[in-house]
Amino acid sequence: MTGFAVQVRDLTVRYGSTVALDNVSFDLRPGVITGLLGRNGSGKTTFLSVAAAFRRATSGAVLVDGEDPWENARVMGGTCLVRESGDVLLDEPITENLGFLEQRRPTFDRTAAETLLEVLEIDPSKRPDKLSRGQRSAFGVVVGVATRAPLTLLDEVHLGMDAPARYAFYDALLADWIEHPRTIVLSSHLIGEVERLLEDVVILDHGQVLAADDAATLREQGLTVTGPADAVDTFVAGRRVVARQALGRTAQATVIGSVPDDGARARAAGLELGAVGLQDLFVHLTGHPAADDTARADTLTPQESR
Amino acid sequence: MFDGRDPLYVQIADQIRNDVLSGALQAEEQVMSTTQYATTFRINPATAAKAFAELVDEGVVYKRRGVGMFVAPGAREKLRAERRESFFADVVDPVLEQARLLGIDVDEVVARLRERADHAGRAAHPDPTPQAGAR
Amino acid sequence: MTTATPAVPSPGPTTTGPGYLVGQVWPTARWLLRAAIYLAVWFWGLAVVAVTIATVVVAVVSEPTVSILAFARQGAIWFPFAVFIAVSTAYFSVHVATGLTRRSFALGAIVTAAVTALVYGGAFSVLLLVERAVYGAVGWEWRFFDDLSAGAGPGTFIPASLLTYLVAYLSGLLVGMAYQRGGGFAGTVTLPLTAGPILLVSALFSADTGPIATESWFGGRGLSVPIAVAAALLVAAAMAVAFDRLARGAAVPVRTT
Repeated sequence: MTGFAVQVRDLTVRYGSTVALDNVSFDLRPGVITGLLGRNGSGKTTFLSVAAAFRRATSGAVLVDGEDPWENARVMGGTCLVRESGDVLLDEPITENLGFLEQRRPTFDRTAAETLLEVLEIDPSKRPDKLSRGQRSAFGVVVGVATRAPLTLLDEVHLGMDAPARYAFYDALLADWIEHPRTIVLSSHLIGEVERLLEDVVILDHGQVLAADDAATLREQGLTVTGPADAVDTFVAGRRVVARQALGRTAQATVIGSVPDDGARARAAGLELGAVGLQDLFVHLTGHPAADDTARADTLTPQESR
Repeated sequence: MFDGRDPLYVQIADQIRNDVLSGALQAEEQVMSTTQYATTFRINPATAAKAFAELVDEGVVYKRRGVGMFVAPGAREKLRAERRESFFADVVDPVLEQARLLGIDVDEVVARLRERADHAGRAAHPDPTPQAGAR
Repeated sequence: MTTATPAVPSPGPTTTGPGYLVGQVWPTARWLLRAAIYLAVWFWGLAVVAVTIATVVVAVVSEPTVSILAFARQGAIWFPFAVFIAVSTAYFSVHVATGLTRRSFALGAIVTAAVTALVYGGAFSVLLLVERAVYGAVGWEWRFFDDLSAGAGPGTFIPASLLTYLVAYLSGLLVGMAYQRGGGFAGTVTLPLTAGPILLVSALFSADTGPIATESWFGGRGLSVPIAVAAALLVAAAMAVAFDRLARGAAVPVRTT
């Protein structure tokens, strides 16, 4: 068992008059760590809720391991959604929670859970409602990792955790996944931090899919062009420019959409090409188009403005 | 370790190429596995796999089924030959451009290069000095 | 690649049939009952202590003529009622998040309500009979009297209590789920439907006292106990079905921590 595959087909979810997901379709490859990126309100949590059968879709379908997860004991039993601090028994000590999970999750590994609790410095005799925000998140992380569900969905689970705890979490997640492959969906705003864990990426924006690809291919879509302002502008003419900075006669433009001969053309024009990090790419892709136009206007060089 | 803005797989591939060029990785020597890369550098093994795929295409490494990735024989020479091309375009030409900007004559640059080369050569192969009682 | 073996062997999730019931419903009922019985022990323990003290006080002042324990009936209705509201709210999210179905939640909760009603009803009946024996030994008159069942005998107050408890606990589940699905306003507005049946069933067993005197409904004759039992069971069944329907479609609410 390497993990459930997920297929999303024309999924629409409405809350009253608000459309949280608008006819989205994409696939999640089984056994792969996929990053689910999106601004607040983009529909990430809604999608994860539907995949975990926490709520129903308004229309369309999510198929987990080929089946509708709603009231499906097999699929639900193999799906674990951890939201922020997790849905655990708040007034029972952590040890009781572990026993509760052990009896209901066939793949749950108690030893792994106890080890991770130690690493994250959580006292297992405490009740979750007596823990700090960060500790509760850490316990949620433990539940998510130790359950070893074929479909593990982690929704902003890092909230409240300090940097050392977060990095311990990333290490533990990666190591455990390497040993016990499964499908993991990681939703996080700290894109720079989790980027190295991701194989695939799905970006949601305003309830629609902005991008769904493997992380390397997605990153290749962005490039920075640096050099003399005129040469840069010529190079990027007619292309999707999402940012432009100028300092004196030198300019740097960020472009979405690279073509194969960019390298050669840039060298010929005396320009330097650079890569765009996933976080920056995400910011540019989800930014407002109007901002790009003003960015161009704001960076007139002294010569041009005379 | 991998902090640059370049995609991780590019950085890994570059690091392996540099190791092959410098001799840190010899021909037929085994390269770290994707899992080892993953656990050592805390990255997804798929990233290392992508770097390997690129290096296999270039002929820098090859895969021995069930064993791992090994440096291909002749990889160092191949990389040297490739880098020769870009050395002149990416390294030497900008030097000349800089010299021109600063008003430095080409001959001065050449003289400097010669002097440094001789110095380095002497350091690598010191002149034999007569030793008492020798031969 | 190893698969972890849980310390307590649990049947894997199957979708239908007896395997499903054993795999999902029974652990749910067992878990909920664990908490419910723990609370029941506390409740009746405290009740015995309180009633003993009260009896002694009354005995010192005058002489007890009615069962003092009978007044625990209201507590035995409303305390677990509140607990079952929590089952529908707090526990429901944990249940679904742990990968279990709403069907197993609903069935497990209903089974728990029924068993808890038996536990409270059983404890109440036994303690009442003990109290009656004690009164008899000391020479006091003993009557079961509370606001709705003046002078009723065991043949009435035992089924009356049992069924009132059952309906009350199912009502707790239903009220909790109504709030869960409809929000605060809808949950409150539907209280007559979701909690009203408790008063209705209490009234079904009452003779001629209290706000609802059912004797007059049936041409002057008090509702006989078997008919009242049947009616109460019907009400209980209807509430169980309503709760089940609501639970099957309930979404796990968004976290607000």
